Amino acid sequence: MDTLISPTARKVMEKARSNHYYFQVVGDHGKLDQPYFKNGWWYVPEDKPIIDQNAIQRIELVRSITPTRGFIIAHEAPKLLCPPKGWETPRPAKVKPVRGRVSLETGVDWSTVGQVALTAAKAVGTVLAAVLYFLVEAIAVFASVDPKLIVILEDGTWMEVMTWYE
Amino acid sequence: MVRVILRGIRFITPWLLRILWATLNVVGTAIASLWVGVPTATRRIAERWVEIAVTAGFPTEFDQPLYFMGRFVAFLTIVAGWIATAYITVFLLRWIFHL
Repeated sequence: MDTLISPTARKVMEKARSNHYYFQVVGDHGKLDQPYFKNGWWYVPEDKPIIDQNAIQRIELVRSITPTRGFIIAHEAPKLLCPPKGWETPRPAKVKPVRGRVSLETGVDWSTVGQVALTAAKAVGTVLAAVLYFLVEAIAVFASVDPKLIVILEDGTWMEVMTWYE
Repeated sequence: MVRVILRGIRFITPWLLRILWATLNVVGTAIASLWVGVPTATRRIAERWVEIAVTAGFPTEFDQPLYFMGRFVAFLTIVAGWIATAYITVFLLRWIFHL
């Protein structure tokens, strides 16, 4: 994308920075009439985007400098990679059955050992499940697409005012 | 036994060097804040941290809270630097003048 910064956009960015917001100019393509794909991102024009108070404050900040011409919600479209040629799904190896006599040792209370092992397995399982849950949650947050809210300024500059995880 | 000691030294040395480097950084930050002033230093540090975070993909939805958290952490860093500087000063004076 072009990153030509107009004087109006510069003023908006300066005011945003003084309010500790981090805005970026992501283009100067003017108003968008239909969805547009570029560099792995879908830019979808929205007349009234469903946004929270945080985004509204940012838009108001922009409007205190210059009128806006519209909004764009940008969604990342991750590329799906095909498997390489000749790739085969690995098959599980066959386990040979154990042959021969199995002798049990005497003098060990196997029921107690089993109970202790069961308790330990439950404790370890609970901890592992908790860790796994947090890992899955973290991966779900960071692997999801991150939309951007872009405000189109009156001079046609596209200004990214907020990004978030969906 | 000697091998255990050598392994221990090999294990501890990088961590000691990192701690030393971090302490020097903290002391340097504290001394630099004396020139530019604490508010300016914390603001610059926090702005730099936010910029790094946003460039690395941190959602700008949280840029304002991140900035204020950064300023708080930067202030704590400067205070820690002053404490470290005071300890080093006292240590050096006692070492030099045998106090």
